[in-house]
Amino acid sequence: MQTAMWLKLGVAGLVVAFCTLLGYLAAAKYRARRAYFDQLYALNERFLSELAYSRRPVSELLQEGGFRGEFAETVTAFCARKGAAIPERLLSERERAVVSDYFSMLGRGDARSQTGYFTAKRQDLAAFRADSAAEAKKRGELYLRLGVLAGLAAVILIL
Amino acid sequence: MLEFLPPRLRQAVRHINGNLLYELRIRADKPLLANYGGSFRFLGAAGIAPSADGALYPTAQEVADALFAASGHCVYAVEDQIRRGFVTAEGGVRIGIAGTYVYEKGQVLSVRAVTSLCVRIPHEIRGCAETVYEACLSDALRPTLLISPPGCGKTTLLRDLCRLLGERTLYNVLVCDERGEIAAGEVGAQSDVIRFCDKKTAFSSGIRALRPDVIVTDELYGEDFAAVRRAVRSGVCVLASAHLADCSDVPQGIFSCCVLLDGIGQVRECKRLCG
Repeated sequence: MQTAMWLKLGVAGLVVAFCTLLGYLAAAKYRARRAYFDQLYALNERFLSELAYSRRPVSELLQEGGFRGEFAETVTAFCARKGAAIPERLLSERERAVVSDYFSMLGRGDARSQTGYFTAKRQDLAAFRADSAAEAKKRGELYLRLGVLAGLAAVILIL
Repeated sequence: MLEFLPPRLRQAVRHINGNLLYELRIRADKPLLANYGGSFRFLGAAGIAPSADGALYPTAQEVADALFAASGHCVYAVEDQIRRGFVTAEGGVRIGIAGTYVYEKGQVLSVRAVTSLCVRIPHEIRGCAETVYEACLSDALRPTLLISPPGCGKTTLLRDLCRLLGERTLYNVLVCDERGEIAAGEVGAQSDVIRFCDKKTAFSSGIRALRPDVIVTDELYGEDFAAVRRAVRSGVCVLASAHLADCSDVPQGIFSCCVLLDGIGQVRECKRLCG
């Protein structure tokens, strides 16, 4: 009887864990958005530093890498001269337009005009970054809670 | 090399022998010309064309795309070069630019609406400087000036002189490579290269920090001769080139040897100068 009880507890734990994992995975898109805009913002800051000092070609800066996820794909496509591959599933239409403009301007002018343009873009990118971080936090917590609740509900139904 | 050319022009160049291609003249809406084997010829889609009718006519967009690609798709990284009217692409290919100059406060700000490119392709010819080396440098370091009209191989000779100095001596050689052309090939194991820097700055910082025995530089013009004079007076041997027609045009009191070139890499005269 004790074994049966432990077995039930084990199954209940697994069910709750599984549903929590589903909740975590459901929020993956928002985490990916946050990571995308974090990296884009960081790239912009590095680029502005580069313009102020050694002015290496943009391809050298991008090849330093350290990018991951969909943003790494965007950068790889840009470096391969295929246009920036902007993920439709992650970004809204307005965000895609801003990111597309961003990459189309990268390296296109002299240092002064590039500094002016990309300094102005900082505000947009900071807003995207903040919004995506807030949304990732909100949705992440919500889906995790829903996952736990769903798990508990499933346990009650099963047991 | 020449990967920056638009696809149409790159394809045309593939039909000819690259070892004989010295220069490409890309002009918007005008026939494409190539200095092939020492003379200019029309270049068509399948190679050399007998007349302008068979030549390719690059568009203005192709000229702009070629320049952007040659800059490594990064204008700000080469804006100083563009202001001076050229861009040096990968492999030491020098591209002269003709367009509309934009000024601000009396200084060149940029060049826009580029309509022509003069693409000069470097070739390494090992041993081409033997005659000059034997005449001017084998027994002692002598400040030497190579002179000729444009396109006679002065830079190629200077590059080979660096290589010979590196192979046969232990002199420290400073290459002041203002346009990034000299160091496109082998310049010897004892060479230090300062690239894309004006000669006055390169000479003064190089002499103070790198203690060269020899300075090699190309295309002396105007105030550059004053920097060379200071270097020679401080005990550094300078090997340089200039667009001059005759040894009598060489400024006095700087160089001990003057080499007049006649045709690509052909030495017409090698003269010791007094003073």
